[in-house]
Amino acid sequence: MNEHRLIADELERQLGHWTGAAQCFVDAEEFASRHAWESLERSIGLPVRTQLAQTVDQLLENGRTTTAAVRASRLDPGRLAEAHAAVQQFRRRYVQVETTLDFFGQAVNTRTSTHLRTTLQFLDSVAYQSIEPVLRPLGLPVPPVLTYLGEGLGASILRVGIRLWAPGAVNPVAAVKIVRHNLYRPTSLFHETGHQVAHLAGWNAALADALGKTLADDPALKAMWQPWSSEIAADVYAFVLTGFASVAALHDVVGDERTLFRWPLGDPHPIGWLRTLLGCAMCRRAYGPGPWDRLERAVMTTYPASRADASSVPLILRSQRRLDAIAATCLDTPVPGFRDRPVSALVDPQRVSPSALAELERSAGPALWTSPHWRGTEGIRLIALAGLREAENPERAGEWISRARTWMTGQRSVAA
Amino acid sequence: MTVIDQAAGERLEGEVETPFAEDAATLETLPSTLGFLPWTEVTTPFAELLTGEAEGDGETAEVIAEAFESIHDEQFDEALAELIAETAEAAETGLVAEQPQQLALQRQQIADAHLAPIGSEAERCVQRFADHLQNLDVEAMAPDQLDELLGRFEVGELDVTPAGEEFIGGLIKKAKSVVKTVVSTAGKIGKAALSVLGPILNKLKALVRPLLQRVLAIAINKLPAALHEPARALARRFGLAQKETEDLVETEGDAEEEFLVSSFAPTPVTAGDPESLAESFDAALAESVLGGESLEQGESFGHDQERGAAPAASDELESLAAARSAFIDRVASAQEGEDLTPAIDQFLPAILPALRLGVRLVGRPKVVGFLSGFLAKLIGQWVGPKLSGPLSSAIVDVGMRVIGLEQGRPGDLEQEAAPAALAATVEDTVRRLSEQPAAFFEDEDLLQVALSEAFEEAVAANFPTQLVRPDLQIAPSLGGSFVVRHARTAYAYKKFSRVPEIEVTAAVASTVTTFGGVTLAAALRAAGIALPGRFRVHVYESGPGTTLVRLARLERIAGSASARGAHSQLHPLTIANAGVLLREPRLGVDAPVRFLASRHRISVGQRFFRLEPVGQSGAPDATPGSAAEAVRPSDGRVRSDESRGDVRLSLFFSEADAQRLAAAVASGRGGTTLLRALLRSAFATARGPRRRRPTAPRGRGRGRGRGPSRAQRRLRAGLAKALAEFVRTRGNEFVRAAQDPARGVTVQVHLRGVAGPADDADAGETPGTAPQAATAGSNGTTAVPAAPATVTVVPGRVEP
Repeated sequence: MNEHRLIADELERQLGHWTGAAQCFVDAEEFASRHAWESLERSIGLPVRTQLAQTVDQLLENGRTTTAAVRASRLDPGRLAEAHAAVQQFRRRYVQVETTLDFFGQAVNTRTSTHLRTTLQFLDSVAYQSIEPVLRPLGLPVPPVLTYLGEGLGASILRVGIRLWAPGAVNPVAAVKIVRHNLYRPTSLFHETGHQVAHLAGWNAALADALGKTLADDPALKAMWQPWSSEIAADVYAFVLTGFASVAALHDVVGDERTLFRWPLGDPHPIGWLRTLLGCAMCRRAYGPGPWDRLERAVMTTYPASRADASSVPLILRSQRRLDAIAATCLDTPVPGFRDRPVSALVDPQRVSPSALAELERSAGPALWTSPHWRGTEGIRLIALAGLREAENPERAGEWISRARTWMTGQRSVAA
Repeated sequence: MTVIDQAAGERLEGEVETPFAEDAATLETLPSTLGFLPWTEVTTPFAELLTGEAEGDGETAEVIAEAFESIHDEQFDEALAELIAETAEAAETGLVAEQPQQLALQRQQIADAHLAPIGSEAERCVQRFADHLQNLDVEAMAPDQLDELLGRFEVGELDVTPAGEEFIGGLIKKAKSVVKTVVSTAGKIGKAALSVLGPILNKLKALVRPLLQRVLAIAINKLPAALHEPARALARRFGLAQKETEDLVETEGDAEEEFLVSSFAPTPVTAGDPESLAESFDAALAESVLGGESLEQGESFGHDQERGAAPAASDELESLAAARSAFIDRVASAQEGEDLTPAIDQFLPAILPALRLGVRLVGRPKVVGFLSGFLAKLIGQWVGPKLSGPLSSAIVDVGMRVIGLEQGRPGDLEQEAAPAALAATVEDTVRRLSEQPAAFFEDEDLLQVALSEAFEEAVAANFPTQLVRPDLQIAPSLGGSFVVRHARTAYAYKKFSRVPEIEVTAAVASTVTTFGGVTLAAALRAAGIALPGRFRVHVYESGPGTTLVRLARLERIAGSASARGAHSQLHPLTIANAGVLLREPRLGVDAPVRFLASRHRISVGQRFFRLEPVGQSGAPDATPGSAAEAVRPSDGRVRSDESRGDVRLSLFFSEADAQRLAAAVASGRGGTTLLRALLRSAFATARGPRRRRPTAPRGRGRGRGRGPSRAQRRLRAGLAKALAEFVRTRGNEFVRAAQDPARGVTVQVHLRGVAGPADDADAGETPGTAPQAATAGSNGTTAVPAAPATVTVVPGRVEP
């Protein structure tokens, strides 16, 4: 057997393996059960499998052209290099498509137990409710939102429309990762959907401009705060939707003394210490005095700014003095993408003020935690209320988490 | 009532050669089917009441009627419907054959295996319940104590399917109702309650198997014989109230009249009438309250069967499916110019028995022969490789690809599309013709007119728009046509090939009426769907054998995970609804009112729609329990006992409405809101159809076109006064009831001393006949005293 036939045979063998493996992608059950896929598709109202099938079809089509190239190279040694390159490219594509499918498969697979499936369906629903009333009146497309349980301490989002790993594949759904410790106090979900809203409405750039104006007199502070605008916008969004609950939950995530003052170069996240205090400042601006004052004092007492890296202490202290102004900028500056209205005009933070939440609790009575009506219509405010009560009564936090666990899944609540 | 025009049949037999004469098999099967006459009996178990005198002495009748009403439980109807659908699904899983009838036996065995554990568990539960009662002195207890005691008995964990669990739960609920009725009426019939309770519960236990046998029969597409006999017999004996409305009476004449008025052929679908099944069960049970002879009828529903013998069952649906399948094959392989008369001749005998009035045509061979020739000629244009091409490609358009067909192999869609459409056209033509007044069958010219009309309408529904004359098209702005789904099965139905996307506002939804007179707005609100919203509208049409529970499962309306209760998303597409929602009134059909009361009693050819929210929607309700129950919309029911002048209203507020009202009251601003909601519901309910226990048989169409009668005004005044007083002094009871985990809140109003039927009907004309009229003016304008009333609030949904 001549050498070129040998190489062509080997190429064909390799390709056979990869195309064979790719063929399995046709069946979505390779990645998750049909039941789980259907539950997800029903929850988010989007035929995810159909969309992913297009990516698989493209891969299989690519496999067919590669096969043709390999076969042609058997007869024509001059086309061997081309066939070799095609097989290599097919391998790479295979891996990219697999990564894409695995991502969705894993996301779907977190809906294994009935309990988790119901919880995540509820989170899908409140995530959608958190963006729909803002985006639709603005004439912006409202993407479906999918939540899944992931590792780590902080949530994240894979925004809709961004390019996925596989070439040509575009993410059809905003996919939000929720972490386990916040599964039943999911205010971070709204931070993530805030990213999606800010991206679609051009809020990040507008907020950066506004911060620039507020801090125009201090170029160093301006340079420090402007790059944080995207994360601040997301924090503000979580705040207007869930009030103090989002601030307390945020502090639980960033309150690691080893990283609280960390300021890595290029990190879009504000220094944790400032983030928490900005949250408290927003509460004060919206609601006046309240439990956030206690949180603020505790943070400043436990972690005085002097514990930060010496080079950043002056900036941190100067920032601290400007937090009220920054909070006002965040909440009250008109945003072009919001039709020149501030975010607080689109989502009124007063709906989740402690007094408004207390009124909700009083008027609905114990049914608030058991009735599917309240779960369906006031899901976000329930999260705000539960988070507020948990923060106010840290000694009963476990009880509140347990209560959230039952009301979110519609089980009969023990705590009433 | 006889529906076969024997005289005409005999007359014609001499003159015309019947197309069925040579088919011995057909002749053998026909008589049993004809003798069976299921359609005349399905919808009106109590129809005789209206024409015949009630038998039985008054007091006994009263007891039976009271027992029947207290045993009745709409949740049990739901449970039966789900059990039938679940059993049907189990029986069909994995069974695929060219001829559905080949597998009848296997299907029956699987269904039997599915139901057997449910039966045993149900019997065990009833026995446990009976044991629970045995050592208790129920007679000595106050009603509250008895309630509490009965409430303490729980079914507990059961190792059965979800529908099985609901079914058993329903049985125990009935058992509890029986106990309450027996205890409360023991005095009236002069018997010690305890002595009859044991035998009655034994009877209930003994009825479980026969009931499940009927569930099985329906699930495997057979209709058990004499299903309704006991109910009818009971109605005759004791003068039980007929259900829902006085307009229920159903005769051939009525059907003709309905057809002439609405151009709609009212043929109830075969299987899946769990309401009738539950009614006959309740009737048998109610009768047993009397003890004595009725208790000895151990294992059967009535007097029509040998003890323990399996009920006979008919095969019309399976035969129709087989004939349709053969017709599709025959048409698919037909050549151009081929005479289709033999194929149609074989198809027609299967269609006719599955139609309520189809049997009238069986008795008219001449008409059938004419029909056959007519259809063969017109259908013939569309067969053969060349001719069927345009039809296939027109049907297999984008719309149809979207809805998909069940065939898996490529090319099947195209091959099957045209023959299935032709089969549907034949069936529709026959159905529409069969409902025509008898006079049309006796005059050739009239017959020709009726036939062309029936054919035109069938073509308009089943042929792609572009092939239909513009003036006949049912939805010109949408295009599309009805496509048969699962054409080769006994549960075939149709889906409209277009799924338009529409915006629904609260204003639109409140003008669309769904089953039971509930507005679409209330139904959507109860299901947690916010308006305005965008929806895709799926349109379906029922065939013989369709049940909405099964259709919802086959169409995966709720996805595979939560199929139970999905049928509550199907609403009737009446002409008005189609006009409001889709601006295509002809896409709707107006079914008679009795097919609009419940999702479990529908008619062949009736159309339904389902709104699928576009995009992401709310979280599904995860609470355990009946899914249909969870999303039940607010409604009101009324029951009247005219001999006593009593009226009882049950005003049910869905969970969504109850919570909203309770929150308004709790925040101190809701008194008016609550009163308004209560009055609106009460007045609407009082106006609507009611379950009556009449004093005497009545005519139809009483009191129409007149203003409110004196009794109605007295009723309204009583309601208004009582509800206003309730809200003022005890509104917090509503709030407390809303806090209960049970879904929704029921406000019950019991009015006494409201005038009887004569007053209701004839006030203003014959004042002297009304018991209450003697003391006050009766000219319709004078103020009337309000009827005294009591108001109670109960968590959850309670019957009046």
